[in-house]
Amino acid sequence: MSSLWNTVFYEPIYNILIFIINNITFGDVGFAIILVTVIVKLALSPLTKKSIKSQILMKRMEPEIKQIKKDFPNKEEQAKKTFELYKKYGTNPFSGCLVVILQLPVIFALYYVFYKGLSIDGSLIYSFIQTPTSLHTNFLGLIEMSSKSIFLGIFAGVTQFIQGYLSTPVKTNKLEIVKNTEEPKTFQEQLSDSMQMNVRYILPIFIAFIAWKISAAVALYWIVSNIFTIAQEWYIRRQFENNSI
Amino acid sequence: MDKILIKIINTYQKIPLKSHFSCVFIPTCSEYTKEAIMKYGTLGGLGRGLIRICRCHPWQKNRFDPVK
Repeated sequence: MSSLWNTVFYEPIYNILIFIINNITFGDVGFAIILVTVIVKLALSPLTKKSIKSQILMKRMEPEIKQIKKDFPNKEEQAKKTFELYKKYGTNPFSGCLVVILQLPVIFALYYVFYKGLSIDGSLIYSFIQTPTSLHTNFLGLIEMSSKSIFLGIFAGVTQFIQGYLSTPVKTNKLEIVKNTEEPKTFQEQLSDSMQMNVRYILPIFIAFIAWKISAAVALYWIVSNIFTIAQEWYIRRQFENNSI
Repeated sequence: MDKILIKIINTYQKIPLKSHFSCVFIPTCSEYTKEAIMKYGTLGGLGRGLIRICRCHPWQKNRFDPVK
């Protein structure tokens, strides 16, 4: 299973990185990380596009969905009315959870390429790709990619926060069951509830910490990936507004 | 075990991710899995959740699909 994952996902991305280091950035690892991340994200973007579209739609529908929840206590009727609403706003904007899950191995492989460090492993490089002779791991002449960088770590956290802030989750469908089985909550349950409420704030701090502790390469990957998502969302939102209004 | 899994799903639902806007069903796949775990236990619940996710693809029509 893991060797299949290596062959199908990890090695191709690793070789793209090496190819870019050889031919495009002339040994510069930092710029190569940025390019590889953008290429993989671009390749996946047709799949994420739909999710972003429905995210925008869901935000617009939110007040109406709340009203439906109030007017129709029956779950099945609630669902029926909600789907009618989806139709009104654009038919079936959803891509499905399977599509999301199928992207995960690619995302993990991309992350793992940077996680494993920047040493050259000749056995992984395809025969038609040269083994790089010189590597510049000093990004912009300022940040050493193979060491830890607290600056890039914090920046990763900040971009994560902005990205999360822009995609405020809609509080529908979820938590309904928890509310139905109302029992007095124990202290522990209350604590875990408040912890979950703060995920939005805790997550960026967590990511900043991890990005700092692992390596500057992983932090840079995170930053580029977050900025890409923010830009993608901005672009789709603009496209949307031009078309529908 | 069930409690831990449900906590993980709850936390996942709180993390701002694009995947929250992908599900074609009501209730969503994560919600469905949670209910299934409550009703059928760890393995039965996870199995049902997995099958549900496999049904959640772009050619699936929006529909109401609760745990049976």
